[in-house]
Amino acid sequence: MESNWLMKTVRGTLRSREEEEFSHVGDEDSVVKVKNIEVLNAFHIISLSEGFDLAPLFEENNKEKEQLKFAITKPPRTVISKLQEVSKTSKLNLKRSGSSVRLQGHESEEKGMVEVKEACGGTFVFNQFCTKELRPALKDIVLKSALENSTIT
Amino acid sequence: MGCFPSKICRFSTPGYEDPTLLAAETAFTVSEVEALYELFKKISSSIIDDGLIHKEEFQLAIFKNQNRRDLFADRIFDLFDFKRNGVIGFGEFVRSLSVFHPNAPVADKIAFAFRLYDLRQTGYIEREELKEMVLALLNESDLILSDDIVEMIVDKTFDEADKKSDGKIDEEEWKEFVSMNPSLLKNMTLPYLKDITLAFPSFVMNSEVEDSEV
Repeated sequence: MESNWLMKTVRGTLRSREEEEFSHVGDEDSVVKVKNIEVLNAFHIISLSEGFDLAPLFEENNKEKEQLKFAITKPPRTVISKLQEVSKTSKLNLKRSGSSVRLQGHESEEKGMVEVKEACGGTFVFNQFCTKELRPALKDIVLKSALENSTIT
Repeated sequence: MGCFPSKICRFSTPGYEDPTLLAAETAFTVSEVEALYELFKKISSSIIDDGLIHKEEFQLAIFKNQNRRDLFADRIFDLFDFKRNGVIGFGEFVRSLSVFHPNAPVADKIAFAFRLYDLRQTGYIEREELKEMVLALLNESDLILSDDIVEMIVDKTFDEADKKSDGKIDEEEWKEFVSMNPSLLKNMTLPYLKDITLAFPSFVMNSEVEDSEV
């Protein structure tokens, strides 16, 4: 006799917003077209706050989300081509969805996602779930940009 | 209706509200409300076990750090706490989360976002409030931008949104602005609210609805 007290063993995985966005995108090995880059306004920037993101309320595990955000004054094209270089050397798959670029490792745990958005002539690079390979590469982009173009204060 | 020892009696649990009523008034089904109750119990007992979500418990749930203060989390908390008693009860929790449901009316999302950004609840989003929020976000992210650039970003946004050019955005202007920039409502929808029953299965033997028919 089946007891109704048995907990349902099927547990769906809650997909993050980012995963929803990328689920329909295929791999892009060819030249990345820099089109439809969103121009941010102040409210877009604000909506990126962790305080507005209620997702952690629903997450079972206490996975630390390593978030790096920085602004550089290079055009998105430059950032994306750098990321393409990174993806080749570190064997990560590069996927694009609109203004977001995603680098994904082969194991489902190792993921790096970088969002490149433009605002007021500057480029905002937001990176979530950063892998060890990505962090130095991204910091490299920022440092190089800082040296070449000292408009970041 | 009394409590039967053979079933889980929820009526004595503080903060509990009838899921059928909540389902009728929100975008959630009865099962989803019951699932939300499991989540609510978890959050509301994390520091003070009184069936209510306190600010520290909310901060703990969002940031995994009960002491982290954040302008935006404060706004969310204040809006969820529509009874204005400093804590979030189950009814407030469900009714507020309902706005974030994919099926919730867009008008509700637009209105909620407006109240979120109206920091001092004046009925307008003032230019200073917008700048304050941008600075708070930059601070949170350790992003450093010169004041000139921040001013430029705020100016550009205001030029677009403040059609009446009176230095503030009213609700009408906000609706217009959002219709031109629909991605601004992106953070007002939590797609996984549709999967809530999978993530938080209810442990109740029979649902409330079946009970009432006995």
